[in-house]
Amino acid sequence: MNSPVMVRCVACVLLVAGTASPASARGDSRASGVAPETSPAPVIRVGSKNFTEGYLLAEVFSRVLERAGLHVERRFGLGGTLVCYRALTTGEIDVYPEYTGTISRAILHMQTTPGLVRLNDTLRVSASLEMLTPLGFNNTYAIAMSGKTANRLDIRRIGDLAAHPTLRVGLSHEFLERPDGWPGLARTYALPQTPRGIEHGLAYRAIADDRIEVTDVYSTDGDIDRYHLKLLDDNRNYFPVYDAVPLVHSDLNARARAALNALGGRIDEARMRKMNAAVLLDGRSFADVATEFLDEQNIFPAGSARADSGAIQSRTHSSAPGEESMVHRLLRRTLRHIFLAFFALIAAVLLSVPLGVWAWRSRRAGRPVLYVAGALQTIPSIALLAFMIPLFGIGVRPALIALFLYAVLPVLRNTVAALESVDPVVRSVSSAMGLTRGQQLRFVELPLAAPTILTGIRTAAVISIGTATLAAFIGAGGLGEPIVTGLALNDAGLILEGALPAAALAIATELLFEVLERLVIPGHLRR
Amino acid sequence: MSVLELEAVCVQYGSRVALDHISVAFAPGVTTAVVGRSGSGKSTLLECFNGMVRPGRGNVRVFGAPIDYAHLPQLRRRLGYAVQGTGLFPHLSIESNIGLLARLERWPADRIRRRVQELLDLVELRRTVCARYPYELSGGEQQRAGLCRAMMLDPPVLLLDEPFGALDPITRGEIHSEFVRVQNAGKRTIVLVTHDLREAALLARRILVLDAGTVIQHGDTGEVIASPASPFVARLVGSQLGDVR
Repeated sequence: MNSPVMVRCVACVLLVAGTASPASARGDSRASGVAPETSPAPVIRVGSKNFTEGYLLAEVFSRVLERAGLHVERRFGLGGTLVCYRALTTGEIDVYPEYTGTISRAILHMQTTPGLVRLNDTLRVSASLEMLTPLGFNNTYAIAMSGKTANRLDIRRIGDLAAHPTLRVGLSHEFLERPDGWPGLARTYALPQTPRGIEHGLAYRAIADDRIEVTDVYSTDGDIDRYHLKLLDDNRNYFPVYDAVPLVHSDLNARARAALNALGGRIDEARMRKMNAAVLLDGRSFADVATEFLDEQNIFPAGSARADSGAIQSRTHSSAPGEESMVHRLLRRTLRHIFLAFFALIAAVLLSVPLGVWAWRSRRAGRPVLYVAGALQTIPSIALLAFMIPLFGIGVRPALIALFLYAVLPVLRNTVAALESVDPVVRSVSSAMGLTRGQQLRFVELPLAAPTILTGIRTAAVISIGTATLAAFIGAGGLGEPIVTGLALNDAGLILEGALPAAALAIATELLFEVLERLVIPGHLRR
Repeated sequence: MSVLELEAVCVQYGSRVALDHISVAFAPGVTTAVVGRSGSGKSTLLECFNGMVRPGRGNVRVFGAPIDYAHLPQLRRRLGYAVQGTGLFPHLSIESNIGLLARLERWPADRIRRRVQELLDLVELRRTVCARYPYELSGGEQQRAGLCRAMMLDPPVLLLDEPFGALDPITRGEIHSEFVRVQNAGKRTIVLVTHDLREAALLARRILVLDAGTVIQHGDTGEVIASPASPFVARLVGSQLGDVR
């Protein structure tokens, strides 16, 4: 990790971190978008998806809101359109940057993107959401390949790809699935390739490493120039318009609206690409780039005295890079991670062991419980996290519940299997000699089942630690934070800053359980 | 007065009849051996008394009263029980195995210790086995420990299901002599299920011969051996005790 990258890490992380801790400190505070206008400092919760431009625009939103004298809670790096959209409809966030094409196709499931007025009407009626004034650029999807390969094969338009069926296509998972993504594109241009899914942040590196030739990009990506990519011409106008807009909840207060509308038409594509590159290539912080933009463009929303900006600046600097030491930051995240993983684990154990005993005793009634727990396990973690949002919002609570659900199955299944494996002679003797059902369970069956149950708990603990890194997608913090940000920024150092401690934590957990087994289980019963 | 009594008891497992209208009574203080071939219903008969098997028809009386199936644990603690393969709890030390019931009965720790050692002495087990786990003991030692466990609460009745079945002849011989000491240590009603008539003749005052779930003969040991009631008993005696007669 070279030092500019290091500085950048610190900057980004602080940005994310600085937003996470007040959020958690404030806990369940519901006083946000619905706060009355008379309230001196309403809190506006700004969300973002987990890619560079999402973070950057959300930071611009946050700063312009702060300049208007509003308090901002940053909930950046949420895992994709679904998570953001759900968070917005349930009032967990008040605004996030979105694109008209995404709103019409992916959210409202429309076939085409109508004009802004109609789109806004539909949004208001169907979801109580609203788009504010467009920011001024169209970040459409584009298909990109390395300039060298494109020149060699003489590929200029998307349609030209059809003549090269062996080209390796790696697409972001979202693009792969969206109706306005690959399926339609392949149909429109009769593309024969079978694409592979790849994390968007890794796609550029995959092209540079010659592992894929073609990928989807956003037309304002800062990396396009960095990796010398060529954007292929969409000669059949397949991709809809993706005008960037602040997507807000309809009951957002007028002051916040005015502040966000002050951004209307102020960012064109060239500026956006430059800002993205400033973060990605020059390693500058989101905060830095956002502030520079607002200052250069001289954007001070109605209601904000210019003099305020000084105060805001100083407050901004108080949370500037370098203040939180690496050790402190690591410790804070690790503690949060441990809290998430183990709180969920303990809750799961408290439920699953008794539930396992019950399922084992009442065999017929108990089977469905196992099936349900098994089905839960098949839901991809990120999807489960997304499902949690309408029910429990975003942040720590839904993350805990999702982790809890994941930890249930290993403990439950092992409890049942362990009890089933107790020697029937031993069990019948314990009954025949005069132990009550409860005593049989406590003195004979559970102690004999303990090694296998403990193995289940151990499995659940390691799963829990692994899955807890994903909790950052719904704003729950932990070691996933730098991973999420690092993926968005394609910053391996930042990813490692989360991944290494998480791995160490998993190993430490294994060791802890080994010690525990030694203490609890007699040697000849250990496997 | 009989301690254990079956009255027209029928037990059926699916379509297989295990006990077929059996009426039998065991007098107090007497050791009775229940003999017969595999599947003759010996174990089922034994398990009727401690409620492990609940007959479809007929009455079971223990200590003169019908079994209260709602409160089996209390009854079972007065019916010491040991089986072939011992059923010792692998996760508990020998002392904990033997003393478990007393612990559940909230005996003071020193009383438990004294009683365990008294029992170990009775069956001639070294006191050092106390801290060992069952797997560390030989088969014979395990059976002795199992016997101790059955006698921990000094129950008036012992129900023993082939307790010496898995032992080699020499070990068996040794343990038999300890069993006699157990018999002499208190006036206990003992039902000993065995397929070994030689063992029955050695240890029991009375013998009950079962075949296909019915009583073939029930009488004093000498009488059963001297005058078998049927050709089946005669064959049983002849095949196993040929040299004794």
